[in-house]
Amino acid sequence: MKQHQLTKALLFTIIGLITLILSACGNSNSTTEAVASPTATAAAASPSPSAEAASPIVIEHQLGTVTLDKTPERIIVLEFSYTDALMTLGVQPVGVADDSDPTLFMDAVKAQLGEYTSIGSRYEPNIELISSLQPDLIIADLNHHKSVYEQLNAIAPTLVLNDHQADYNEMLSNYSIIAKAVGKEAEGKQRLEEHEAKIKAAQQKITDTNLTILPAVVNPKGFFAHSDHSYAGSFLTALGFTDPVANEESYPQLSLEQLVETNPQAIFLLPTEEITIIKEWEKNPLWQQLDAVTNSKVFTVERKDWALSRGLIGSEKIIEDLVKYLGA
Amino acid sequence: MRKWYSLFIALLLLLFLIVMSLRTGAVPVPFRELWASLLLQDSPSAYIVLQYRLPRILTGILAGCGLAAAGVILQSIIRNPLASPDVIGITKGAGFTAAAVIFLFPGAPGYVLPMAAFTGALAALLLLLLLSKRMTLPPATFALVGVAIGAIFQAGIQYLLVKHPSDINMALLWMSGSLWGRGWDDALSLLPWMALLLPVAWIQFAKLNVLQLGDEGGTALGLRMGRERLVLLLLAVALTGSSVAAVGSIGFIGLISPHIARLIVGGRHQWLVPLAALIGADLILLGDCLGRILIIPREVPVGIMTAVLGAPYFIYLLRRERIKAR
Repeated sequence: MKQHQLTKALLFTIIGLITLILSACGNSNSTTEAVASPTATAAAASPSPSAEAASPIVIEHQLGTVTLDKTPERIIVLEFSYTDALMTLGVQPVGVADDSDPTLFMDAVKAQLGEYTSIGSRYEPNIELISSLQPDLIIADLNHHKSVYEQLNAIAPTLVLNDHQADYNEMLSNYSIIAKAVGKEAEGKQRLEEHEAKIKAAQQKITDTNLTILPAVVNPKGFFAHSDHSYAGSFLTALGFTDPVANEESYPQLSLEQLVETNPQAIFLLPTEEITIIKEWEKNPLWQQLDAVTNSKVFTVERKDWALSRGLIGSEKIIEDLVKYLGA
Repeated sequence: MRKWYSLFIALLLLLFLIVMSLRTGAVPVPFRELWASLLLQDSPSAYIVLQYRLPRILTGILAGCGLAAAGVILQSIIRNPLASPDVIGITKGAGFTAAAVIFLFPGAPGYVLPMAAFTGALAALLLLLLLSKRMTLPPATFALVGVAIGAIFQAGIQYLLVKHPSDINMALLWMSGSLWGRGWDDALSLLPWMALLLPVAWIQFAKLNVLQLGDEGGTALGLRMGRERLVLLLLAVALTGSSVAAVGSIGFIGLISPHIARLIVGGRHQWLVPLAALIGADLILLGDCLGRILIIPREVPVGIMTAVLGAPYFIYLLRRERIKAR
C-alpha cells in the first residue's frame, strides 16, 4: 500500500514537472516574438530616411528571400569563397568562419583582408559569436548550414548559396548574387568582365589545351582526384582541358593502378602536408609509366589556391599557375 | 531516504548546470544580464540566451534523459550490464541512415536528417525482431544478434565514409553527437516524445524489476515474458530513436548513466529510472557546457566530452565498489 502511494506521488511530480517545462517554453517563445517584432520594425523604419538606395535589395536564394533595406555593412561569411568574393568587391567582412586557421586563406586574399573575428569551424560556426557581432548580413552555405538557417536568419538576413558543391559556372552566378547583396552589382559586373578578360589572355598563353589534366589533393593516406564535378576540375574543363577521370564523384580516391589507367598528361598535386603518399608512389615503377611523369609534368601547387578559395581570385591564381607550368 | 537525497542532488546539479550553461559560452553572459534576458528579454544577450542556449539546453536534457532511460530498460530486459542502445545496434542503424542522407542526398532539406535517423533506429529494431525470432531467444543470444546487426550497420557507415572521403566532416560531427545549432524546433519536436515515453518507462518499473530476475521467476510471478520484453524493447527503441534523431548517435550515455545510478540507488527501477535519466541529462549538459568553452570559437562535440568525462568517473565508482566489497 505504501509502495503504491509513493508511486502515485512520484508520478504526479513528474507530470507536474513536464507541464511546468511545457508552459515555460511556450511562454518564452510567444513573449520573445512579441518583443522581437517591434524592434524589428523599428530597425527597418529608422534607416529609411538616410538610406542611400531608395529601393531595398531583394534576393531570392536557396531557402527563402533576403530583403535588405540598406547596404549591409557588418557582413559575416561562412565559406572561404565568400571571402574571396568580398575581397574583389572591396568589402570587409566582420566575421569569417575560417576553421580557426588563418593560414587557410590564400596569400592574395589575406593581403587584402583586414581585421575580422574568427567564428570557428565552417561546419559548426559559433552562432553565439555571430550574434554578438551584430551582423546585418550573413552569407551561408546550403549544405553545411541549412539546419541552422532559422537561427541565423533570426540574427540577421541570411543569404544561403550552394557553394560547397558548386562548380566554376555556379560560382560565377553565386558571385553576381553576392555582389548584388552587398550593394555592388555594377562593380561585380565590371569585375566579372575583367575576370573573363584575364582568363582569355591567359588562355592564349597556354599553347596546348588538348592535354588531359588532373588536379588532386594528396595527403599521407591517399590521392583524391578532383574530377570535372569538383570546382578545380570544372574550371579546367571550362578552359578546354580534358578530365581524364570522368567520374561521377567530385573527389574520387584513386589508387596508383587506377591513376596509371587514367594516365593524365599533367598532374597538379595539392598537398595537405609536407610528406604525402606521392613519396611512396615515386619509388614504385608504375609511377614512372605515367605520361605526366615521363614528360615531367607533375607540379605541386597550393591547395588553398586551387581547392579552398574557389572564387575569382582563386581561379585567377589557378590559371596563373597553369600559364607558369604549361605556358609557352 | 538516501534515495530521495540522491534524486534531489541530481536535480540540483541539473539546475546548477542549466544556469551555468546559460551563462557560459563564447560570449559570456553575466548573471545580471542573464536574469534581464530571461525575464525582460531586453538585454543585448537575449537572443543568445533565449533563442540559442535555452533550446539547446532543453534538447540536451531531453535527449540525455531518453538515452539513459533506454539504457536502463535494455540492461534490464537483456539482463546484461553491458547492454545499451549502442550495443544492440539501434544507434548504429540511426547513424547509418543519417550518414546515407548526408552523403547521398546532400541537397535534402534539414528536417530529413532526424527523420532518417529515427527510421534507421526502427529498421534496426525490425531486423533485430526478425533475426531473434520475435524475441523468443534467450537474452544473451538476443544481445549477440544485436551486436551483429550493429556491426552490419557500422560496416555500412564505414563504406559510406570510405566512398566519400573528402566530405566526411558533416557525418563525423553528426555521429559523434552534437548539440550545435539545436533550436526551439528541435527541442519542441523532442519534447512530446519524452513527455510521453519517460513516464511510461517509469511506470513499468515493477516489470523491469521482475524481468531482471530471469525468465522462470518472471513466469512464476505471472508475467508473459516474451510479450513484456517486446513492449519494453519498443519503448527503449522509441526513446533512443527520438533522442538520437535530435542530437546524433551518442551511445555512451545510455551505457554509463544506468550504471552510475545503479551504484548509487541499487537495482530497484522505481528509483533507477528517474535517477539514471537525471544523470544522463547532467552528463550531457556538463559535456556540452565544457565542449563549448574549451576551444572557442570552435566546439568539442558533446558526444566526445561525455565520454571523456563519464568514463573516468565510471571507473572511479567501480573501483570504490570493489574496495567496499572487500
